[in-house]
Amino acid sequence: MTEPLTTFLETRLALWQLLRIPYVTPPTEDLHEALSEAVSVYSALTGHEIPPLHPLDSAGESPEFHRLFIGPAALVAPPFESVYRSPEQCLMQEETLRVRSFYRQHGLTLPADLHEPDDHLGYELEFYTHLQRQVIEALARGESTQAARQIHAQQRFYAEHLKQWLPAFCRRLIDGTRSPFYRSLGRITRELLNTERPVLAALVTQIPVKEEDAV
Amino acid sequence: MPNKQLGFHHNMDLCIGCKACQMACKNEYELEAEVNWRRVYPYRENPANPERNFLSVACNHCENPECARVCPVGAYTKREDGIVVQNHEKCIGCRLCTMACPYGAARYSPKHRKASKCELCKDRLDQNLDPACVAACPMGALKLVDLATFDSPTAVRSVPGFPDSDITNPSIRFTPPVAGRQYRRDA
Amino acid sequence: MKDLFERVTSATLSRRTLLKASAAAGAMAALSGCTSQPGSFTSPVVEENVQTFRTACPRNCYDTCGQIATVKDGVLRKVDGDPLHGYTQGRLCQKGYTYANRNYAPDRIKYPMIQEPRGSGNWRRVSWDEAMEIIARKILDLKERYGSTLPIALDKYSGNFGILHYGVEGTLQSLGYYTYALGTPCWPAGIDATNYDFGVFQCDDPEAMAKSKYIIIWGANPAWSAVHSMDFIRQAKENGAKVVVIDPIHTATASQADLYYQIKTSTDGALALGIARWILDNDLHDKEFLEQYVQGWPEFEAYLRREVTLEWASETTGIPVDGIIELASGFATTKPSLIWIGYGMQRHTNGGQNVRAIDALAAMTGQIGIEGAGAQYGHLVTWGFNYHAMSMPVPAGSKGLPDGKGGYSNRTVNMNNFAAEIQALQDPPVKMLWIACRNPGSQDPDATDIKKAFNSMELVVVADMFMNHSVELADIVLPVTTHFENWDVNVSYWHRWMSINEQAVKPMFEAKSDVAIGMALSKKMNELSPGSCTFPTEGDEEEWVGKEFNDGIYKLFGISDWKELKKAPAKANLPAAIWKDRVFGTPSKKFELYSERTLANGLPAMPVYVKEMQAPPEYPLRFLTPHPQHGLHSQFQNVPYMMQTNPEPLLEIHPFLAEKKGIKDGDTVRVFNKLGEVRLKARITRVVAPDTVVTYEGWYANSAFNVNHTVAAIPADMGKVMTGNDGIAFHDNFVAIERV
Repeated sequence: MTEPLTTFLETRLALWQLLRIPYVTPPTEDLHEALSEAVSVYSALTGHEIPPLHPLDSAGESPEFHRLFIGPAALVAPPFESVYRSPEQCLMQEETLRVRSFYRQHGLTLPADLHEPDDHLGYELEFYTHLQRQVIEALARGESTQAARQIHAQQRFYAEHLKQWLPAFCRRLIDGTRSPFYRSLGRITRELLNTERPVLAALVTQIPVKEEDAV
Repeated sequence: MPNKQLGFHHNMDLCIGCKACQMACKNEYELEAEVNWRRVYPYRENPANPERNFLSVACNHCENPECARVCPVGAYTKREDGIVVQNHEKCIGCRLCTMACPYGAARYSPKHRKASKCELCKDRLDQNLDPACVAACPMGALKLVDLATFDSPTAVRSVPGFPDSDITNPSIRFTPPVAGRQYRRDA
Repeated sequence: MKDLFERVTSATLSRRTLLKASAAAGAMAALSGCTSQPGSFTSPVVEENVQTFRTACPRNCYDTCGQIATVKDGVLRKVDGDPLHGYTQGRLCQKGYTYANRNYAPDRIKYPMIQEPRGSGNWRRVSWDEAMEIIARKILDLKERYGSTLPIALDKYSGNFGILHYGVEGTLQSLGYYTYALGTPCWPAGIDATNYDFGVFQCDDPEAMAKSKYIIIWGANPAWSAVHSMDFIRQAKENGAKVVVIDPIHTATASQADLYYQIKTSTDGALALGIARWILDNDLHDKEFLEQYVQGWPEFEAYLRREVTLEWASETTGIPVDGIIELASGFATTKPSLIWIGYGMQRHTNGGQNVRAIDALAAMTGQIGIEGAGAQYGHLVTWGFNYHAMSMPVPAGSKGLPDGKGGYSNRTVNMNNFAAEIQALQDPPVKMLWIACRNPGSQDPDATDIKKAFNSMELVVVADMFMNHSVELADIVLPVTTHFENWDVNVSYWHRWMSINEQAVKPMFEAKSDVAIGMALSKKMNELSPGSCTFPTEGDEEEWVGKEFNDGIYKLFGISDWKELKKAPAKANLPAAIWKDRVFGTPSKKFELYSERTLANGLPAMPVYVKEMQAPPEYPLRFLTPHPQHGLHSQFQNVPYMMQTNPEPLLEIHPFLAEKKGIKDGDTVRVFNKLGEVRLKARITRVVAPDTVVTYEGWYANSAFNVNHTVAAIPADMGKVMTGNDGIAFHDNFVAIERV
């Protein structure tokens, strides 16, 4: 695997891993620093303009994090795919089960004692970054066909799931949050989503697949 | 007269407006909050003898369905048994059916950008079950009937306020509400 | 950068390591979710990985429906009625049909959370361990400072009437002697009245209504709050029965009646007495029955002759004399005749007296102990469980309120005057609140004082499912399970059926049942201070359900094992007409028109008329706030299905009154009295009287709407004998209105 490709894949992975964090826990200054850095590096690598990350509120973002995603009041931006896609706007709908199935096809599942919807943004991004890591590891082992498969899986997950609801989620977040940090996070997420398709398409061309192994 | 025409008999005299029918339908088909295939409306209050009456309407599976007539992609068809069904895949969300239907049967979903409506629980009928609304009604105010053979001395084709039935010939019959006597304090 | 990255990501991942390889991933079949294309509407067809469970609606409702929960791949897919339940006959209600939805509401409270400071809206998630630690430390701290756990007060009632939910009381008791809200807001005046008259709190099988020929629904609205009961009334009508509704509001039930009486609110006793007088004058009373089975007839007869005239009754009630005569004649001559006494009717300062007057009519006409006849109010005869979940001993050495015999007891406050009494308690004061199955922030009178009471606490713990006005005032909220997520057994206070409630799905997120919360608390308490809590620290809920059963219940229901309930609900073997032997539970063993037991409570011995509360001149309108159709108190209304069906509360106002105040349909109206105000959109209608405005109590999502800003904790006249405290005269609420 080439050095620029490695750098790109690792930067992309780092970015998505960091992006996930403020959706699952209140952000720290460390997180802010790391994520800002990753955004600007990735921006430069892709040549795609990604909005900057706004500084954290000096008093912290914890109350807003909880108000947006946790509760106990009605969530401003419920971070669950089925809420945006199912007619009843509830948890644990068809979409959730399809996501669960997608995870299973890749040998993953939520722990048995965790009774949360599989389509929580945190889990979906964790899965997405898992696929990304698989690409890096496969390429490191010289298994380019396997790497291509994992890219193809990302394309599918992106098209069938992430793209289907995250734009609406980002809209809710951007419109509903009181936090400039979270607003900027929503904008960054939206932009990243927009870059994913061309990025994935470019990766497909960059990673050779042997004829007989074609997916 | 067709061989079979399934439809509803709505006994407004028995209807208490509890909305079990409206909600049972949503429960059955996991509908969106905004999409009500069956709707319960408060019925006009008679100033002389005010009561709380209600009208429960879903789709009337008309003899001449307006939805089928106006749909640009031919999504609606009328079956042999009279039920008007929709091929939801075909729907392009133009909303002409929602505008053409005099009874508000076709409901538009802003989320899915498609219209949909009551299909008389055709799959339940196949299992010899009543439509969900009929089964849920605690008063027996909704009944599934075959208008080809339905014969009731008290049932009428329309009630005041219900849209004109000549155009579409809806497959619905009503037993109108009969007011009781009242001793009131607003003479 | 790499360092930072690793520091950041490892910190997060270790907290939320979410996905692990599933060993059997390869063997797992793809889910069959693909049978349902997006937007394709097909009825659920029975599939392979589908299970059904028997559940029961645990709400405070006459009907207590039997339900069938359908679960596929561990997800609750549909909730429908249980066709084997003889009363609810396979149907739910408008609220019941939202249950599948409600179980998976994204706004359910998911984790224990802490609000700092209280009331600020700044919430953060904590672990159960942390929450239990905070609570346990506060309990131990209070115990240390005050020498007992009396500073801890429980307010719990009917948010979930499943028998296992009495584990809440059990939890508190297992900590030591504690303070609790005693009484019931809903129906105690009528219970005491029934007790004075009949001696036992029981009633006929409501299924027998179908056999009645003359049914009076007096101050009840089953079309909204006991929907399944309407079928039995309809059956009676089909068999020629006449149905009469007496209610200040022309309700949906009234629209089913042959005859409706728009009575002046709270004067029901006068109407009953007017009817009694007419029956007496026309010699239609059952002299034999009165002779054999009734105590106090001569005294009551004398009272009627002396004090009651039809003109007086008409004047008091607003019903013309010929109307009273029509009703009296119908009731007395069309048999069997039955009166369903509603709970709304007794929420007045003279509510209990009015119930007694109505009971008297049944006694006068001998219409007791006959199927399809009688005065029916409610019962608790099927509730004879062990209350194992509740019966926890106090820890050794616990101190409480001295009982005068060298021992100790719990301390009570009046549930119906909670805010005031909680704040007034001394020796020791109350410093901590535990709220479960209850929402005083929405539902208690004097919402402002409730807020004050909460704010005076050192710690407020609320166990609930959704954000509401009580959670808003809490320090800690604990997420609770829906009834699909826990085991229970349920009965009704109206019909005679018992239903098992099987756990259908695992609790979402970190929700725990009230019993599981008790176990978690006990574990933490005993960790910090061994022996400080006697509640079991673990246990199988299904087994706990089994522990609630005794020989009495088995005999009553004719089953030998509670597991039989998994196959079908069971019905109590009792005579349909519960008084068929005409042996009453009073001291005289007769129906007591003249009851001496009332005198000790400062009440009249007979069902004489006690004047209804009068409107003060500055607040001349009555503001009725009866039960809503779309919610059960503060439950259901917040679910999107319901918010869409009923988006906002409306004020029902008569056109005469509206015109006087310059109010048009849709205008915002301010409804106020010295306690507070509520603002509502007007709906002009003639189904209410010109001197009354009506809205329906409850709670709407994201709304400050709360009728209890105008409702004061005025006591009803009865209730303390059977329930510990008198009821609340919710409907003696007087206001003024103005267009905003």
